[in-house]
Amino acid sequence: MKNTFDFVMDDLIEKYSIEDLEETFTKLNIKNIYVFREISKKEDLEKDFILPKSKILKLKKAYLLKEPSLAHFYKKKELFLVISQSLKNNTVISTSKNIPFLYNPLSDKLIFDEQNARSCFQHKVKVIFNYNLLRDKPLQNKYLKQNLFIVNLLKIHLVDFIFASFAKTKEDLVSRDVLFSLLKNFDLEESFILKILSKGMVDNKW
Amino acid sequence: MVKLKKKLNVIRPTLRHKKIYFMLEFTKEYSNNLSNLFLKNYQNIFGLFSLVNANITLMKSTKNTAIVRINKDYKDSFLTSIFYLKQDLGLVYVTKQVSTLKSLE
Repeated sequence: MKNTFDFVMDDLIEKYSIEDLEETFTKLNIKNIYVFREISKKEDLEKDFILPKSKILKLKKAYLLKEPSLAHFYKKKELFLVISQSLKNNTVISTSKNIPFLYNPLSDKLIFDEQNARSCFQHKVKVIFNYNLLRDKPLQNKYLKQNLFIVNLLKIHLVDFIFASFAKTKEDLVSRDVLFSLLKNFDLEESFILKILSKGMVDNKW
Repeated sequence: MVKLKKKLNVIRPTLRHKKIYFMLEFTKEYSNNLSNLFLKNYQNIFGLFSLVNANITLMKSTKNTAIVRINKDYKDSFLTSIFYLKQDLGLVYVTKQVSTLKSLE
């Protein structure tokens, strides 16, 4: 697999040395890493964070906004996602022209329907899933069921989606081979899975 | 008089299952029965019939590594089952996937 990527949290970069991370990501066959900082208030947008330098990995800064309203104040050039996790946020983000990515459409109950999928297609919003939610009990089975349903909806309505780790520790990471095999259980074709796992899905540079 | 069979005939190569060997490395040391862990975890996710057909065998293991043999058709299912071993084994690296045991050593 070429040009693989992953989304991780800045906690991971702070916890481990760059040499340790280089070894880990090389073994996992991941080259491009987007490091996310969570933003919950408007004031947090003014604070910057510095990434360590690496010759092997391509590290890039990115931001995870907790509320859709924060997108109005976001003026940086780096990639940003908006957290959903509610019916209201799903509708707001999928119908927004300014928000390119909807993160985590899963919740205790199903909150993403066909209308949301259609809106995502119309406004070119990509949906991002955190695969670690499928591993952590007790809501593991609920999230998996919702995930299978939503992926099918997105496939039908031609909406792009991404699976990423949002890892805070090394244990949250997964090898690309394992992720490839996992995605086969979502009734996706091999060529489509390779497309999802490549960096072009994030920056549209194929 | 019927001759009683004392030995089973050698199974033709075309009838034998094709196998694949995985070399796995994990960050957490697992002190209990590793073979049981792989089998129970796989059965939990894919069920009894799939487990029996997959023919998972632990060839060698140390505290942090394992060589597992599995039928080739069930390779993807086995890798998917590894996804759910985060709590027991931590981060799992799939270092090698080969068709002969000799190429792993």
